Amino acid sequence: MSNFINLVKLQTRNLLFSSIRHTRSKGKQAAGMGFLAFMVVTLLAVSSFYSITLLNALQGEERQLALYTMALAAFVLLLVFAAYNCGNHLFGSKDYDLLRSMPISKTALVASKLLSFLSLQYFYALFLLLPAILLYGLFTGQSLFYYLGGVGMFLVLPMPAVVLSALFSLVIGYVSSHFKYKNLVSNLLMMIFIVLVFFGSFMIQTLVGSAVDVQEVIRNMQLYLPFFGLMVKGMIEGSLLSYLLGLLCNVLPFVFFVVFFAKRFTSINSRLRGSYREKNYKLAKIKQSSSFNALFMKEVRRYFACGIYVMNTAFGPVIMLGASIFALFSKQSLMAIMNELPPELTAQISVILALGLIFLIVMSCTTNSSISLEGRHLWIIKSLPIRTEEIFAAKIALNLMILIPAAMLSVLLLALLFSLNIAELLLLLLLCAVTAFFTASFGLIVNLNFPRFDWVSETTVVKQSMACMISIFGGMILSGIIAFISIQVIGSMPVLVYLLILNLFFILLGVICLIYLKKAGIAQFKQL
Amino acid sequence: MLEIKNFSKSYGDKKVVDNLNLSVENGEIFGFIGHNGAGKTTTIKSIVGILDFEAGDILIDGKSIKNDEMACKRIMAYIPDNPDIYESLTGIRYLNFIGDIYKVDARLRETLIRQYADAFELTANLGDVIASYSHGMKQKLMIISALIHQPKLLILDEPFVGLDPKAAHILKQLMRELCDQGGSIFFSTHVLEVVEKLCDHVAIIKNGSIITEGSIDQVMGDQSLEEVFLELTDHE
Repeated sequence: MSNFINLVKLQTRNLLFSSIRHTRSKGKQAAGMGFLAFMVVTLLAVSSFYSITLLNALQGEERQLALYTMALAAFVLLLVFAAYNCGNHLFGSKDYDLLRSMPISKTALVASKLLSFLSLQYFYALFLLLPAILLYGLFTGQSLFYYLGGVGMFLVLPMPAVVLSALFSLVIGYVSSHFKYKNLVSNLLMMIFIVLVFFGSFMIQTLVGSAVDVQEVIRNMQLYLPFFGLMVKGMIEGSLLSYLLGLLCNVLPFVFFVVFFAKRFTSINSRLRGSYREKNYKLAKIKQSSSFNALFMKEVRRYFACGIYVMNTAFGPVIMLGASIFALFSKQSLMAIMNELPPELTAQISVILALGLIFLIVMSCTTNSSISLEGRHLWIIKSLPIRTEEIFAAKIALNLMILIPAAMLSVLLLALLFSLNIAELLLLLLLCAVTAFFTASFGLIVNLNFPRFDWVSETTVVKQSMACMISIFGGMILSGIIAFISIQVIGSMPVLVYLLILNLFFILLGVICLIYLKKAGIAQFKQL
Repeated sequence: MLEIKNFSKSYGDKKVVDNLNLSVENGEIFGFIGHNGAGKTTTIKSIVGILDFEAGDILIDGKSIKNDEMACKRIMAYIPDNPDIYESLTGIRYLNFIGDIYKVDARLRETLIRQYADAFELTANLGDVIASYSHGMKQKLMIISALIHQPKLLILDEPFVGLDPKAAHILKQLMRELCDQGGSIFFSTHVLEVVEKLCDHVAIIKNGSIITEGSIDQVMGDQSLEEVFLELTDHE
């Protein structure tokens, strides 16, 4: 038992605290903790705001729907967050050989991995679920049983998300292990899974939103989504039976999964850790290319080989394109909505599009972790006859390759939809390019200042590193500030002038970043 | 070919290499031995430009690694002790990546890859991703990548770790051939028998300082290198 507890503690500690602990500088540690605290407070505030909005929109018994909806939203997001990391943690961990060689039972090993992973999900559940539970209780005056039940739901709701994401990771891993470019295949399958999850939740939310009979919706949630439906019912109605049934719906699949997976742990890992081997390989004719091209292609291959890297950074461009294509096909309903909006707002449509583009572009930065991802391979580019500027250029070029085609195509589609004039179109196209360049160069600067090379899993760098958080939240804050200013000045100046100002602003930022990279960035890289 | 002058390197307050001086002539194989943590890898990484250093200079073919980094790196190749290379690439892709960086002509590259891959019996695996390679296969791939651009100076950090006996034998032959053609080799190893058989010169480092240096015959005298090493590192 003590082995098991030690295993859980060790793996949980690694997962939860390694992203802050690594930096030696006490100043940076304090800054990191401060930033984390700021992030938690912000996310709690956003989640609370959403819950309050829902609660205010509903009255009387219909308010229950708010709690059901937040629980569903929490479950969907937990599923998506779990899907990103589960595969690596269960099947790709570097400690597999070591742990399997020790006198630790497979059940204990599997259970410890799943429990440690579960502990990470509680971090997300904290700001997804807790505000909703507390605010509903405050708005409707609930009993102690409700609050105790809420604690229980907080603890068990991530379990089915972990099980589902583990199962899906298993399927993805099994399918992709049959292919030479298994990482590319697994990335594609993972993206399909995420899209399906979001599509499914969107459909449910649409059904909920358009439902006439709220009680019917609640009954359907209890019936078809019992793992939270029954628990919420039990909490609100004070029904211990409903609550316990709901609890079992969460816990039992988790336990069954541990037992099932433990029995097949060795065979599953052997299968998934294997690589495709080419039979009868013959050396083909070799083509020479430039050193920049070689570096760029290395970056491209590195990018597509890492699922979490692709998931975290390509979603913005995918959403941009997806939304533009969807909007084009939903032209009629979209135009109907547009006709109901005030004419002052519709006249500024290109500014609104610009704000949306800026937000999605700054959220899709590959460079904020590209230096850290060199990891133990940093010696290669440091020992080769390559100028540091070329290394930076290749990393920035990758980010531009991910962003610019998708952003520009989206602009073209939206320009068609909203009948933008040529000047607006050109300014928006230029905005895509300059914002993308700023995003890429700023991300690189952040990573140079907050590098991380001692990672074991890429997730640590791509999702949990200081550089990633600063870049992403910095981008969110910047786009928030731009949106706020836009709302203040919108209508007081011609649209084209404002779009030009936005372009000039990002050109200026890009130039500042470029100067920094040339003057200080190169020296920083040499010190790494 | 390689000249290290008054080289010192510290990590924070701790000086790990102190006022190191040595030189490697053209056509020479130079063995660099010492206990764990003596400063061998630090010295080697400073030579190849991975680490910066605060005192002294390192000249490669007369050019300073500090002031003329690109020119130095173009004529040198480095094989580290751990074969940490891009696991998402196939073997051939990694070799082409190195070949492109060093601007090796495509035809020559193909010839050399074929030659070295056949010698190390790695040709059939070049199409597989490096993640599927064993430690020894990765080591072989790194050796091939170092040789395809025909370096004048080869820097090796414990190159025989993980190699099977045949591959180790081939590597020794290739090292000798490179030096016979005028190139130089500077390598560290814990396998003292290899140093005895292969090296022209040897230096022993202890706690960041060279405690003895000279031709292999001068250093060994009538003892084995192991006896000399143990005596010097125990008694100094």
